[in-house]
Amino acid sequence: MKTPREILLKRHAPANEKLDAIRQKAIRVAAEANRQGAPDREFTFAATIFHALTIPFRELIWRAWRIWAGFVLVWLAIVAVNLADSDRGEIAESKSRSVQSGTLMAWGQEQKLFTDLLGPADAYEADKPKSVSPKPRSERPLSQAMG
Amino acid sequence: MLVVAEREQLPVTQARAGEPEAWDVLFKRYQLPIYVYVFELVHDEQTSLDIVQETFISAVRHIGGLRDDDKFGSWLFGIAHQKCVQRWRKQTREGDALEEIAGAQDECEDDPSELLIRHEREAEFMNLLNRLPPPQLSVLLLHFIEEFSLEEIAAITGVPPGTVKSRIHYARKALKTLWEEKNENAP
Repeated sequence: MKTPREILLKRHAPANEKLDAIRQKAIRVAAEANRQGAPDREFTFAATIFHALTIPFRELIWRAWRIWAGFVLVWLAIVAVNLADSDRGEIAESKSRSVQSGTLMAWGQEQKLFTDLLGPADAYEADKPKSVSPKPRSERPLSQAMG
Repeated sequence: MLVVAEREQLPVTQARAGEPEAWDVLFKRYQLPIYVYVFELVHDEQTSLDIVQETFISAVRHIGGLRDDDKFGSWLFGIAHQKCVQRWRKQTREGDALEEIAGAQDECEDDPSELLIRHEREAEFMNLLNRLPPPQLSVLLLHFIEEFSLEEIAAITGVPPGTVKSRIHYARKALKTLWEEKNENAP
């Protein structure tokens, strides 16, 4: 005596061979799906490193990107003003340099004229300063101590 | 007699993780029952094998849709059932035969092991089984092959549990009537 289940399974048991082949094919599909779904280890490692390196950027900069953008604008404005000032300074310097040379030439001409009128400057030699000995008065020579 | 009294521990969680070995165990367990179910509905070997293959591949691809691991068997049969319905509708438009059968909601004695058939009467039993209309045959096969509960059969076939109960009742009644008629006519 058999149950309906036993009868049904026994009746179709010869199909098991073909079913085994179908099962293998389905398992290959499962393995393929598993392989495609599994992430590449090297890629994962690289992604981890990249993630770690970008943490400071994300936490410090990206989170307050408006503030940082404002800082950058201010900095660029300062650089621009500095560049403009340095250009202006160069022009002023070149101008002052030309003014100085003119003044020196005029002064030189005046000095030459003055020399021609009064004679050379060597004629009026100033008195030489007296040599003062740093020694105490008691130790000085008598001539110096009396003078 | 023990039929499929208890639910076995199947590696469904491992299959979800994509382990081919787990799928091998699961498919090995269900390949013949599903083939029997499909064959008795479509009566064509190649079509049955195609449906089993499509069912397995579909299971691999859509295992994420399975909510309860304990329901793997009924879920797999549900996929196979849908494939059968699709074939019917596509090829012969016999899918209409799966329309709900109106009937009384009588209590049914639903222990498949109650029905025991002698070896020499197996062929006759199969002939009688094949004379049942497809909706009744479908639920009776699920009842016989895997001892699915009414709720599980309802989930597989996509009809309310009350309808499943009714179909099983009428199928068993019809089978019994045919069986008795055969026995009476037998020498």
